[in-house]
Amino acid sequence: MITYVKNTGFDFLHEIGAITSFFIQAMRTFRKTKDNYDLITTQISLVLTRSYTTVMIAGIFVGAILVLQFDLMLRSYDAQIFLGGLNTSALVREIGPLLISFLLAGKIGAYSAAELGTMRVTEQIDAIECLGTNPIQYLIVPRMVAIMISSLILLMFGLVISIFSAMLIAQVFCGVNFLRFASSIPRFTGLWTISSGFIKSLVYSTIVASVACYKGYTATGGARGVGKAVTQASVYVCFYIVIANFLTSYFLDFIYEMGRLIFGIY
Amino acid sequence: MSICFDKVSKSFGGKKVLDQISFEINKGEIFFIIGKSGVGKSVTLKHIIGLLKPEQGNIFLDECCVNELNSEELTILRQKCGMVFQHPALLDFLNIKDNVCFGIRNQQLTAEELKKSACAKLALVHLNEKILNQYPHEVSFGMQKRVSIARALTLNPQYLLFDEPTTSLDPISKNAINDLILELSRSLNVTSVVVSHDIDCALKIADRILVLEDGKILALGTTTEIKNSKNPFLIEFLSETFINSWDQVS
Ligand SMILES: Nc1ncnc2c1ncn2[C@@H]1O[C@H](COP(=O)(O)OP(=O)(O)OP(=O)(O)O)[C@@H](O)[C@H]1O
Ligand SMILES: [Mg+2]
Repeated sequence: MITYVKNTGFDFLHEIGAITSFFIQAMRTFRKTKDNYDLITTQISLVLTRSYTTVMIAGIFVGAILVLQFDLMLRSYDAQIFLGGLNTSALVREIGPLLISFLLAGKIGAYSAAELGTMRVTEQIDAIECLGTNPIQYLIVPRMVAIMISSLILLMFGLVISIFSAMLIAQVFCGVNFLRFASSIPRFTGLWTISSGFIKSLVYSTIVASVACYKGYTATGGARGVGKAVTQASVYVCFYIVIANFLTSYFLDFIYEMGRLIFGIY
Repeated sequence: MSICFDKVSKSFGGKKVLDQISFEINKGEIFFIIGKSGVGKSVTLKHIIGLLKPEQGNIFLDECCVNELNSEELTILRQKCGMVFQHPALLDFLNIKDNVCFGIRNQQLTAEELKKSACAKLALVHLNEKILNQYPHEVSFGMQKRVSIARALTLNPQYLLFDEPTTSLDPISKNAINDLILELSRSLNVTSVVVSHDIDCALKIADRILVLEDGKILALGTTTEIKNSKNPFLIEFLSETFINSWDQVS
């Protein structure tokens, strides 16, 4: 039992180390070439076209759900004027980045892992190498950068949609009109909140990109190997994101407090 | 001497595939590697280009120790080599033209020039330019195989490594490929290493033949030496393969 725990612990650390070094290796081969620029823009457009509908639908419903829940609690304290602020703050800080990264993991992460895994087991990656091209530079970097950039675009898009849907639900079901909803937003959602949301999103999408590409790139053993890579990519990603969520929340709060102490900003 | 294996050993999960193999391939030579299925022919070929690293021993290509190069040096070295994989390994998100031109896509050529060079290489392997805009999964396996040979030729390599270039091809394309190998070697002094099950054609175009068996070299010599060998295993091997190739024909 103890050895089992120890082994799993070591495997876990080993895996994190391998993924980190894979990420660093990829970023080191990043070059600003025209070829690369084209590849990245194609990948970004692929990621965006594949995931915008999901983000839209999820955004609409999450905004609606959240506003109903908050309303339930706030109403009993007669504090409905805070509805807009609380709702937006929760979306920007936590729900938005988390949801976008889970959606990306399910849609793009699994897709990339499957695609790269298939290319690996059918020797396409070896072929690229033999034709004098670095496969990390040609395949991995564009995918990683595209996932990271798209996550920010999708977050922006998703937040706008979910805030509007929340406003609508607040108006129709909770009797909080647009103006009252919007007026409380700035009280809870400052520049820091917004930037921390985007920082989190960037961290999570980096995790999605690295894990998915790493799993796909290192797949072995035919169709079974690809299947394993895809499952591991989607399961591990969610797991890593939850851990990263805790760490980033803690860390960002810490920075915020420090900033407040030192510069006296609010 | 241009390619040299020096006591190379390789095993996968405790199973010894290559056991202290040493041989040399000369410049401009057509060198055939034959042997039973699963004996390690593809593994040998992948060692030459650094896709696999030996556990023991060294591989030299133009006096460069392949297994000690880092990835950037390998990339430079590989531009001198063209590799045809056993499975076509075409990039399935690119069309045939982009696949053939993959090696030269960064050389500041116009679209017209790229297309012309793709057509020229496809013509060498008896393929029509009609398929230029199709995707790999839209053409047959034999055609994919020939596209992959065309792709290996685009960088005008000094070394060509073929892994079963003529399996699953019709006799006419097969002859075309064999003539191509012969022509490249004779006129441009290209060194070809060919893994093949086709003993007939090996005896026809090869300069020297290497026969692998159980991770060891069973025989190595010119075609006449191989044909006239008294080694009982070799005689058996050759007759078996002859019978097999007869079976396929009839
Ligand atoms: N990546 C790998 N992992 C594990 N074992 C491998 C791997 N590659 C090759 N082998 C083993 O090495 C042996 C030789 O494989 P190889 O592909 O070189 O055979 P081959 O001579 O090319 O056969 P064929 O004529 O069927 O292509 C096989 O028995 C296989 O089990
Ligand atoms: Mg083989």
